Formats: sequence, structure tokens, C-alpha cells
Amino acid sequence: MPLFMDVHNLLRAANAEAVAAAKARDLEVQAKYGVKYLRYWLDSSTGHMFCLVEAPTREAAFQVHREAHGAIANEIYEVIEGGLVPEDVT
Amino acid sequence: MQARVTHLRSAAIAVQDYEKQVSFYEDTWGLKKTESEPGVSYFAAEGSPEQYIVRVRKSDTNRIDFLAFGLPDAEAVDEVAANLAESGVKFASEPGTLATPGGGYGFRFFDPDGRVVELSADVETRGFRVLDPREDIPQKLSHVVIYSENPAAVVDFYQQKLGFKLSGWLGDYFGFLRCTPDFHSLAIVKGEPRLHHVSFELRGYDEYMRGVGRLLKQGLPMTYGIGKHTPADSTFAYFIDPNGNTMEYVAPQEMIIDDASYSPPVWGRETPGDVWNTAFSKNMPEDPTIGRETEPDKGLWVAPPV
Repeated sequence: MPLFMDVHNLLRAANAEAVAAAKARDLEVQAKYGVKYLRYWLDSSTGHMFCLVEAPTREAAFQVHREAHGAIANEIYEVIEGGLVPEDVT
Repeated sequence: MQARVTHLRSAAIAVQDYEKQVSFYEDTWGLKKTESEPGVSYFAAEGSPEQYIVRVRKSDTNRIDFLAFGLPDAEAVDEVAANLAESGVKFASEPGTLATPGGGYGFRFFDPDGRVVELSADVETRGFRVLDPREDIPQKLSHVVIYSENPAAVVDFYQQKLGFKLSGWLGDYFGFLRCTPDFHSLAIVKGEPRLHHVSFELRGYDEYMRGVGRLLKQGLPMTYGIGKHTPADSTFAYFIDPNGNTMEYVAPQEMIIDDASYSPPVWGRETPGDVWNTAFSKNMPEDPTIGRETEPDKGLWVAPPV
């Protein structure tokens, strides 16, 4: 299943509780579209959020957000996951 | 709780120069003509699942035919229709199957100024695609702004009867309403009832700039742009279409996802119209009054024939 990272650039009044409530609605809707939202990261001070999601297509991931709460991401990118082993981190 | 409007579906307008308007949306503005019948054309946006976001009808007079909004389901359609009927609102059509693309179940009524509003549910969606970086065409209908002699009363009507939420006021003459997290899907500004403008969202700032540049290069008159308003943190670029209506390209606006902690601001008259200080006019006729104002709406309190 392709892995995507979506980007929300313009969230206002985006406190952690409100975002958690919106993400809970994603989980209620996602199975219908074969989508699995995995993790998210929020910078509530600037209104940016990043959601990691497994989805058959970009459109399916968007459709879950649209139906769950209407806050559709501004951008979405198909990504590969990488990591650094501890000795590489200085 | 009363059913709430879920989103803005489409803006339907009637125009005198039909052929030029159809060509404008299809060849210049970047929409896709999906269906047509004699004198009526429907246009979708590539990035939107709505069957159509604009309808154009050939007419002897320019008018708004209707503004269309979604409701969650057929039960909500009946509930809202009953509430409106109880309030004495005049209907243009009773709840029933819609004959427009995508079908569905809905009805039309007149708002306090006599504008026709369509509410619907169960409309079939259209295949859409997420636009790619640098694609300079609209991805969806962003918002519609209409004039009213009494903005406060009309803002109150849309809040009380249709469940819109107030996002803010510019003075006492420009009220912003949302029905999704987007800062506004509808706004009411003081003036003789008519269309103020219809706004189309592009993917991001780069795509907005590319789109505006393409329109300027094609010679389209831009009355005001490029710039950024304070409300919605919203970019703007207003253009005049072949029938004198104002159409806008905009980058995505602010989203409000926590209604409980959001307090709608009131911006004073001193609020700058353009926080970037980049806005100017271009390709405009020598007489700047030509085409700057949409003419009064001839369709108030009259149901469109289609």
C-alpha cells in the first residue's frame, strides 16, 4: 500500500484536543476508502499539521478528510520511510 | 440539533452573452465542461468531487440562478424544508428528485433578499483527482459573496436556518460565514442585492501565482490583485468575466477546526485591504467604471426556468 504524508498549512485555532477529535473522525470513516491514517504531527503555534497515511491513492486519503471533518490537506506527497541508525546521528 | 449545511456545491448564473461565458470558463478559467443542454452548460473542477461547481444559462438578463449547498442526507433535506416552511420562507420548488447532473434529493427556496438557494443530499459524486504541483487551474469552488441591503439580517438567517457559523465581520458591512473548516464559503456585503463575486481555489501560492499570470497574459481585466486580505489570511485576484461579473482566483484560505475556542473577530474599517501591498489593476479599460460593478440582479424572487 502506498505511503503518503499530507500537509495542512492553514489551521487556525488548532489546539491538540480539537485535532485529536478530528483525527478520531478520520478513523471512523477510513475503512470505507481502504485508508489507514497512522500518525500525525501538529505545530499548533503556526497551524501546521502533517499526517502519515497508508492509502490506495491520494484521492482516497483526501476523501477521508473531506467526509470526516472537511479539513482537507493542502498538499500530499507519496513518501518512503527512512531512518538513521544511532551512530549516524551526531 | 438542527441539520447543518455541509458544504458549498455550486453557483449557477444566467448571462446575456452565453457563448462568451461558456468559452471563458472552459478555455480561460480552467474549468471542465461536463454536461450541456440547449442554453445551459455545467462546469466541474478537476480537483472537486462535485458534479458541477458552476452552471451557466443563456438569458435575456444577468442574474444569479441559484447558490447550491449540501445537506447530510434526505432526512435532513426534509427537516430543513419543514423548518423553513414553518418560518414562512417562500419555496421555488418542493423537496424531490433533482434533474441536474448527479441527481439527488433537494429543493429550492428564496432567501430574505429573494435569491434562490438549492439544498440537496444524495447527489452522485464525480471522479476527481488531487492536482499536481504547478497545475494552475481551480481545484474547487472556494466561496461566493453576495450583496444585501441588510447584511446582519441575512447573516443571521443563514446561521439560524441553515446552520452556518460566523467567522467574522469587517465593520458592520461584510459578514463571513462558514459551513466547513474553510473560513468562509459564503459572505454578505452591504449593497443592492446582486452578485459580488465567485471565488475559485487553486492548489497553493505557486499555482495561484501561475494561474493569475496566465490570465493576465491572456488579457483578462484584473480589477484588484495580487494581494492578501486580513480576513481568512486569504489571497485575492479579481477578474471581470465577459458578462461583467467578478470572478476570483484564490489560494487556500484559513481553516477553523475548533469552533469552541474560536471567537469571530470584528475587523475595523482601517483594516488594510491588502496586507502584502502588492495589489494593482491591469488590463482594465481606460474608463475604470466600465465593468467594475455587477449589474443589479434581475432574478430576485423569480425561480429560474431550469
